[in-house]
Amino acid sequence: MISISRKYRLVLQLCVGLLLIALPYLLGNQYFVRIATMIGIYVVLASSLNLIIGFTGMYSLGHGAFYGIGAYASAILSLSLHWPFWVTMPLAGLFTAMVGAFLGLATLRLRQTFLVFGTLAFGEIVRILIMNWNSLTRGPMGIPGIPVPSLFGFSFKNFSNYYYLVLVFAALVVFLIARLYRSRVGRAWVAIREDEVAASTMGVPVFGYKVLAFTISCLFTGLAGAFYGHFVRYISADQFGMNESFLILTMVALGGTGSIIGPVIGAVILMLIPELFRFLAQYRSVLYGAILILVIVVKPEGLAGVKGLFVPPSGTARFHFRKQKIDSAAEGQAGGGAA
Amino acid sequence: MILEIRDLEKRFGGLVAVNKVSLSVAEGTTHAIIGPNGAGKTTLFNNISSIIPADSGQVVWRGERIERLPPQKVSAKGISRTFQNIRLFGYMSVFDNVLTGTHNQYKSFVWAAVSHNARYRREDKEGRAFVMDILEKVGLVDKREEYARNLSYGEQRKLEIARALAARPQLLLLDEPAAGMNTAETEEFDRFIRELRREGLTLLLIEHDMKLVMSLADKITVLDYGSKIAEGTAAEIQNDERVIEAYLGKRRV
Amino acid sequence: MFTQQLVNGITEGSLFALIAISFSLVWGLLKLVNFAMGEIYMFGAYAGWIVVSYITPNLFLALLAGFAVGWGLGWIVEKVAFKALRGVPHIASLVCTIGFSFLFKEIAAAIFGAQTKAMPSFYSSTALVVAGANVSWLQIFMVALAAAMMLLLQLLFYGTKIGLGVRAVALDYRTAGLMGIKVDRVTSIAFSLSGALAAFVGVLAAIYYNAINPYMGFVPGIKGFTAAVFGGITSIPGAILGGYLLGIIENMSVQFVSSGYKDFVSYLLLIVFLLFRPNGILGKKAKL
Repeated sequence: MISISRKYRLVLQLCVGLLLIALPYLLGNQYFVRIATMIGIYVVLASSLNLIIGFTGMYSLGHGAFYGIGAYASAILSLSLHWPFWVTMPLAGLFTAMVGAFLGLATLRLRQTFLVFGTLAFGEIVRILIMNWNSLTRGPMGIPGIPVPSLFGFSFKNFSNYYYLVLVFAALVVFLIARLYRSRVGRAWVAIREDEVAASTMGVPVFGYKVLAFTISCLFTGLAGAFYGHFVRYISADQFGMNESFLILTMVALGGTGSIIGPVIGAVILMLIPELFRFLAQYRSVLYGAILILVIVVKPEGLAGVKGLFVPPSGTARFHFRKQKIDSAAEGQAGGGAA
Repeated sequence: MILEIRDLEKRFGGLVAVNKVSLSVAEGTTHAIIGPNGAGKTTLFNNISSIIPADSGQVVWRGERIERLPPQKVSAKGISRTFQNIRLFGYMSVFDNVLTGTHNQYKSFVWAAVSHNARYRREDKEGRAFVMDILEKVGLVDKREEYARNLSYGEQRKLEIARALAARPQLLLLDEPAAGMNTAETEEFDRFIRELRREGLTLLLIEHDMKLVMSLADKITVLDYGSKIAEGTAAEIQNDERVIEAYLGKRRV
Repeated sequence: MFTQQLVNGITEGSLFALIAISFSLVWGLLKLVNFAMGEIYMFGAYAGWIVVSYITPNLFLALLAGFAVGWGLGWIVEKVAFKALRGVPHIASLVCTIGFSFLFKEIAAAIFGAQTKAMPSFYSSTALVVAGANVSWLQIFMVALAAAMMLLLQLLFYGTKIGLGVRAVALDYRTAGLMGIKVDRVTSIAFSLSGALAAFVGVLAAIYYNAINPYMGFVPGIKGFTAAVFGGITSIPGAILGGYLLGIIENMSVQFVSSGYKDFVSYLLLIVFLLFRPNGILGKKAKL
């Protein structure tokens, strides 16, 4: 990554901040403001997934579903109990985090490949539940008329107003993730990503920290879902399927795993491409697939990643055909054999 | 006795990697484990640090059994280790590698991390100063911003020891720390170990460099095919029939 | 009703079993999963559809076309997602094949359109009635063909030089390489074969369901993987058993829960088996 000196970085941050604040006025057009708001939501989604993939080295293809759980939870609470957004939104986040923690507790002992399929199956189960649980979710009809949040009489109905709401939310999430990343907790996560065995001998309870990362990631993802639902005001199961999980994954991979700014960049680029190249809009999904493959093969660390997640760990054999497991006999023999 | 191992056994399928090994490490001493390749030395280390739990037998730390504890709890007791095939956090800076070693000593959790409260600030400051001390001791201060994977082999070995020391261990397990070092580096390492010992650290050491072992070790345990075949001071080991046979006898001729 | 579900279950089961074999084949060799398997199946279906609707209404030619297209796609995926990524952690290859899965799906949608197309039916007349269940000629044909295919694979693995190579590489690629087996070649062939098999099933499925669309591959792909895990992903007999069991269980479950939850059962089975019996019913001891 390019290193910028502290002073210039501050100037740069200030400029970006000002630009973001002035954006609705610069864009003018409500349609563009709407896109900018969606980018903010995807920044949160990609940053949350990066917590799992980039920091801790785990995988989830269920994040589309967690996003949906948050959106549905907040929508159902606010429509059936008429609670305000400021209550339903955090509750939706907490509920999603709880579901995530349970899924994490159950599946995080699985090896990566199987974790991918486990979370994928979970995501599909959630989608099927939403589709069929008519009394709660209105099934395939979706939930229309989700109320617009307001604060002390100030309504966020206007796209520009909602944009600022999401801007604050996204900035806060990125800020919190950055603080976590640079703390004892974040170091433990990265240690797990780099070498689970070494991490555990340095005193890190590996499984607990994995569940923690998963839970926090799901918390933010669920909150993003709530923000999304109250923004578009109509949600249905097909908005939160496998495609969504895939899109978020591609954002993280493109922007760069394991850095704070990477997923932000990834989210911005992938959301802008179909808008900037309208003739491509029809083939955007083709493009996403191609981008993911290209990034992994050509530039595995992404645009601004700390590390290619897919780079072989140092000191490991070139072939990974028989990846060593902590408790496998192979390692013991190899270790003992070379002693 | 700071550490006592009683009848420890570990099998991999039909292979007995560690066969009813007992040994005890006295506090403040340097204890070496030697033996031919495949003797089960590293497996014994893995058993002690709970990375691969033993099948049977006991590991007793200051009178308390620890063989069923998970690795992070063993580490919290005060046992730290290095690995024969260096296992650093490659894409982490040298500084952060060592800082991760302090994990057990601090309590800052999610809230402290995001709020930067008083505890977090105090722990962070303390931890960073401590890490600088260690880096100075091993001579890696200039490299602290580098990724661990970009260090030279010898520097990586040093960094692993630095990371292990960051846990403030009472017992340090070193698995072939001098492997791949040249004569000058080995001598420097010899001095470094003596300094650690002066500070009161107990060391359990696997090493092939006999000169180093004979110079450093207060007591030597010899393993062969997973079993303990001899134990004693350097002089006693050098004259032991079975040790000579294990190293030079039937196997190599 | 019960027998009818059983008959349907066995028919679908033979499709799942063949896809499961594809997964087992690749897993056995490389300890890898090709996420795009379902999309190769989908392209196979389109290849078959093109043959019967534009060239000649010949079922065997359609199956052959599917097989060939699958072989080609399998080859491409192997070259990009596995050969080019050899030496980096497995997960990179998996994520890369996820990319392929989406790429294939959307390319198909761009070429053929996203709407469902009708596939002509073959041998759809009822052959016999067993205990109140209608068994069509197609169902008999499919089950027989699947069985023949499995037999053929068995012969391939245990009766030919290539098969010997595959087994040797699966057992220990390093030693196999030292013994003069061209590991890369064997891997490439096995991978292409797994794609061909999946695409072959795609043609059968298209005829059985009379419909194709770009998104038809996703669910069977996951189900094939589920069947493989169910039976034990390390063994081909396990994959076959898993396929049939999954087909039967799924069709039986329609009796008890609404058909909207049909896929639910498979996903639940996948999670339960990954968690509690990762080695499957027949699988040898494998670390997941």
